[in-house]
Amino acid sequence: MYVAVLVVCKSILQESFYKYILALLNGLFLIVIYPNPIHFFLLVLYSYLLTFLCADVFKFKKKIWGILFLLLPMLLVKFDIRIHSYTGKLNDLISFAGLSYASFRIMGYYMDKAPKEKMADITSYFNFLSFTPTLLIGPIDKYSRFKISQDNGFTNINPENFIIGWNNLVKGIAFKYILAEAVDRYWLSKYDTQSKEFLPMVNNMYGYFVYLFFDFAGYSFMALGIGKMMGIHVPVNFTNPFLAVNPSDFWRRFHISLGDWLKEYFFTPLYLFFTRMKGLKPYPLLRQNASLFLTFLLMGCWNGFRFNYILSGSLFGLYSMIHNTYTVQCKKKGKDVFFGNMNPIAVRCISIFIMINLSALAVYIFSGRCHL
Amino acid sequence: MKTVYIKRFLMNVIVYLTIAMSLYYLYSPMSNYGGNKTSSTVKFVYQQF
Repeated sequence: MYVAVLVVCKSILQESFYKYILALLNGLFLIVIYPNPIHFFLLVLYSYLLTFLCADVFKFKKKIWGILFLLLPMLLVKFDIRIHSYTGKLNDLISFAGLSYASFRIMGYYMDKAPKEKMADITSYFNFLSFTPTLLIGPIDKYSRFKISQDNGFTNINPENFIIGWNNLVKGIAFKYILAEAVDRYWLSKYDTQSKEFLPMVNNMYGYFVYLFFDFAGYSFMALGIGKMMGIHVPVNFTNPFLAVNPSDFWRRFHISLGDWLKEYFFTPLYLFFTRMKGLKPYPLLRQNASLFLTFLLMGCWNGFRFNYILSGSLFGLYSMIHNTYTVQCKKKGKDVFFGNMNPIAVRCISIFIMINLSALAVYIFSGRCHL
Repeated sequence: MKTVYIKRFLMNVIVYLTIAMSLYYLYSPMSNYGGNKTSSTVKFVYQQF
């Protein structure tokens, strides 16, 4: 329906009207279907004003204060903070589904904004945060990329993009509604999640890993497809994660936008911070490993402050630290310290096998299906 | 060139027919499955709030 409305508007309106039509459609979705739309609108206003104040009025040199204020709503919800004068949960006042993804986009925009760069107009900013296909579970886009797409929105609505979008949409439907459903129905549901026996546990581990991929990648492909048909290029979020050969390769293939976001806005600044610390200057490997571990720990905490999420994130952090140390050792010694002179194809196959098992284990812990 | 188009068309027909039949098989009213028991990604996002 969205695509039909935009196609009709394309034939009667100029390019500059695209963002207003898109804002209307996004707003309509929020008001009619979305739970707690007021909370969403308030967050848009809050973050827009705060970004303007921090970046253009007070011109904070250290962005950390702005970041903390911008992430405040998400932090209050995640920490489940309560206030005395209000008997209910603060969550009920400010939370809405997709708050984390919106907060990531808000912070990304603030971090990317150059000191003399003009503030985004409120319509584009609202569209960036509320773009319906990516509203709930991403992918996490960058404002600069979104803006380019939006400025050429009507031009992007053409038969070529429609076909690409349609193919992605069909792929997403097949992943989510056929393959994920089939995995649940004919694999996962056959095994009791409470069982402590080896076979059900192994099946739950691999089954959930495959299920999560088809389910999440399905949504992402549908978002990409619908976005493309609406004239907005949504970044790719999954590219064959089962072929990853190491942890960093895995995060370049699985939930790519989250991996990129964490690398750009958390890992790199944290690594630079550690580099500036005098005591850590002689230990580059320690700086890298500490930054890697803390990045994945944050990822675990972002899912929620539950033991299984934090352990799963820590496990991915541990994998990354081990792999990073191994890579540094290989570079130092000028040879592969683990595989030696083994055939590269065999090395690749073994690496894929190890990575599938390690990531399945971390995802299994994340799922809460295992007994801890 | 013509053969390539015909092959692509036939391929698409097979893919779409498979998808349509799979969807019908999984979701038709005759299917007696009680519904997906594993939490989806969207459900996960909603459950947090």
